Amino acid sequence: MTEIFSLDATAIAGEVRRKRVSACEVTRTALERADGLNPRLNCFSAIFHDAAMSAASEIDRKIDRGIDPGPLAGVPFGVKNLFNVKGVTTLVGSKILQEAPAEKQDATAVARLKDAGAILIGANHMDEFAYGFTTQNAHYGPTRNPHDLDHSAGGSSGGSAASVAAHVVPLNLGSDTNGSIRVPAAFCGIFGLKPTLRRLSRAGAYPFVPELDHVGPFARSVRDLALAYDLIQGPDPADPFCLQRPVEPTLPTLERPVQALRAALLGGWFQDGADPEILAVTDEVASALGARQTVSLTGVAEARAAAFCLTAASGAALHLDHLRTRPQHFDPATRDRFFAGALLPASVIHRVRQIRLAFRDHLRAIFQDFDVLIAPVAPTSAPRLDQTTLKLGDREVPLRPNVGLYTQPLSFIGLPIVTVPVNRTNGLPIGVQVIAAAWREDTALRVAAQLERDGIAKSPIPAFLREGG
Amino acid sequence: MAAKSLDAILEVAALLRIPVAEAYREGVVANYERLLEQAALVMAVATPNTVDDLSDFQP
Repeated sequence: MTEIFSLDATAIAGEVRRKRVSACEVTRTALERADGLNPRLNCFSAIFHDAAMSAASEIDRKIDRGIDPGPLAGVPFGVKNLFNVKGVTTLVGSKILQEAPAEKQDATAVARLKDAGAILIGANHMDEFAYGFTTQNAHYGPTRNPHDLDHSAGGSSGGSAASVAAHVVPLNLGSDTNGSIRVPAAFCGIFGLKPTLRRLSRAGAYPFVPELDHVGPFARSVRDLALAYDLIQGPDPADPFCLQRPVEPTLPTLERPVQALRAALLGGWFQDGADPEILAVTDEVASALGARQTVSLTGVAEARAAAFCLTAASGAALHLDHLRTRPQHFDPATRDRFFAGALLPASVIHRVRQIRLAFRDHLRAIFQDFDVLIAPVAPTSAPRLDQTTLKLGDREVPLRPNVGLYTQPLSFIGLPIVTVPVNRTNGLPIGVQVIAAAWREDTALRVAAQLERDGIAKSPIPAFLREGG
Repeated sequence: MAAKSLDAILEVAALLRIPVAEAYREGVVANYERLLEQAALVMAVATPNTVDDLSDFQP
């Protein structure tokens, strides 16, 4: 029999709603797994034993009374430790915020999942202030990849991705500014959705780069990804950046055929320097979708450079006070980049905004001819934790600034993207980006669902789980 | 290059009242130079000198 922790969220909620298992049993199992695996993975920064068991009891009481417990009844989930959780201090991977007061209310995305019956069991580890692609954190150590503990889980939402890949929770919430959902999803072998910029409420999510920040879910199945996304959708008076768009449910559309969709492979920048294995896997996905054309975008290097500059400058602006008063309490890797970003002239940022519009318009034109674009998530699979450089073709470049080469230009203009883990039998997981036009999360999720049905996309089970861990 | 960068960094940092301690200088200079490489790419792009629609970006 399949262990409850290996079911996806949809299946767990079904079991709980049918009273085959209680929310309390599921939650207890998730808490035990979090306690047991965290010393190895370092994926949780806080585990909420009492609050989780109390919420689970409430779900069981509702079921006993015949009250609808919600579509995520009894489903354990975690959140990157930049989402506010009532009664908890939001650390954002930092030491500086350890003394901040506990939050008075949940972030909107957290509250919406709880309202649907999900049980929050913990907050997940991350790069300090979300500035990184590897979840290597000078204060709290690295998050380790469940598929190989010597490798990175990716970042900055590394704890979130690792907790899903290790079957501690079937669902998690992360954030993506330059690739921080897509990269850890790829490295850990799970699905991740970065929705369209301004689609989901960010109220109660600690900002990194307000112009670029997205929130989104991680899961081991596409139906869970779509369900969580659908539940979080909708305008929020607490977040004026979130546009007033009606909820557009994607879950009912997942079964629709994709044969008529026009797919293309992204070439040029999005293939330069990648490991041959990464390119082969990406080709395999594109071929499965009938992609016959390779599209080379123009201005990608400049768009990536613009995102790089905006990130440094805008991120630094949020932390100027602490750079003045407490520089010694930052992770050195974060501090030095914030210092540099604070010094960037405003005229660069003005030009960044102009490039952003031009690159957006270029992609809008591309999406007149195609429905989905396919690209690798990263030039490499999960790097070793002691690795400092990356081979890009015949060039050796610093690892940490370059992991997001293929993700950064696309989040810069806010396109919706699903990371799809490719079904492989050997080696570390590899993920592929399924990119759709703005506001067409439904298309990206439909394509991901088709790839899953065809057996091309699948979240691999870590070896330690296959061995009974 | 590093020494010139350091002078510029220290001047602007003083203006912003974020003094860069001696111990951080090497890391800050390395990151500033990496950032300048990217900024040079940005500034090399010819774009229309518009001010419309810049602050309220829609995907």
